[in-house]
Amino acid sequence: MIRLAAALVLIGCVPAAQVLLDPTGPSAIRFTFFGTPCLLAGIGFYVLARLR
Amino acid sequence: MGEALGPLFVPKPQFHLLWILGLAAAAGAIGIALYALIRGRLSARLGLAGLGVLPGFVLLIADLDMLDRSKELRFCGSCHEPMAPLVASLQEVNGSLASIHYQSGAIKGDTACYTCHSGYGLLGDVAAKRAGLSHMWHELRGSYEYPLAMKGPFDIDACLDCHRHAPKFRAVAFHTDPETQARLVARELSCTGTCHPSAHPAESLNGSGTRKR
Repeated sequence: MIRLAAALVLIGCVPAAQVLLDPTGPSAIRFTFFGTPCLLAGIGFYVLARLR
Repeated sequence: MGEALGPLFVPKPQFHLLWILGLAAAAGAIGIALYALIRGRLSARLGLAGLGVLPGFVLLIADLDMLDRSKELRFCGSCHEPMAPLVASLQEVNGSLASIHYQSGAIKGDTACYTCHSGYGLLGDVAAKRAGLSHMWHELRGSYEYPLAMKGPFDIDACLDCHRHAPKFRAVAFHTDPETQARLVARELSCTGTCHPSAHPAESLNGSGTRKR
């Protein structure tokens, strides 16, 4: 589960860094609809892994 | 574009501490996540930092930064299919209301779209951000319908926010006519496209045609 959380955080951080570096419509779309759910799920899976 | 005219016409570069912190946090989270992927385990402290605190911080900063910078004209114009023709039409003299404001410097050039398309006060900002989310959804799905049209009547408070204080505006008899005011307040009448020119030229509302419809 740690690996899953790490993968999701990794995938989510890329569009986040992209929107910080180059805030355009397409990068904002990627971050909002792809990066944000990935980051939230990554954090969620990490918390779940710690609780187990 | 402004560089050729001299330093007075070049906007000052802006550095935000939070922006730099956000990028540093993203780099840290990526590093720790890569380490966790390869090793398959993490110490509690490193895990908390790399898969909890840092990603949460990145999420917060990227969202705040995006909300702030989505006010910029460059941001609106970057969705080429629907918005690029509208932004281009601002930058040419075509007699549209948006062009008149932009060309005369009556609105801040960097945030021209946001200035007129966000209503008055905090609730206006919230409504503009909600509309922005809907724009992103349409752009993602390619579901914009042309010619572009506003969902409801244009919020004339965006005009009045600047103009109601101006003596030149107050001196116009039509603006102080009670019947006209009642119709404007009831949103039966708008400023643009009636007494004043259309906000944007009709041809700029048809998209750039880069995406097949």
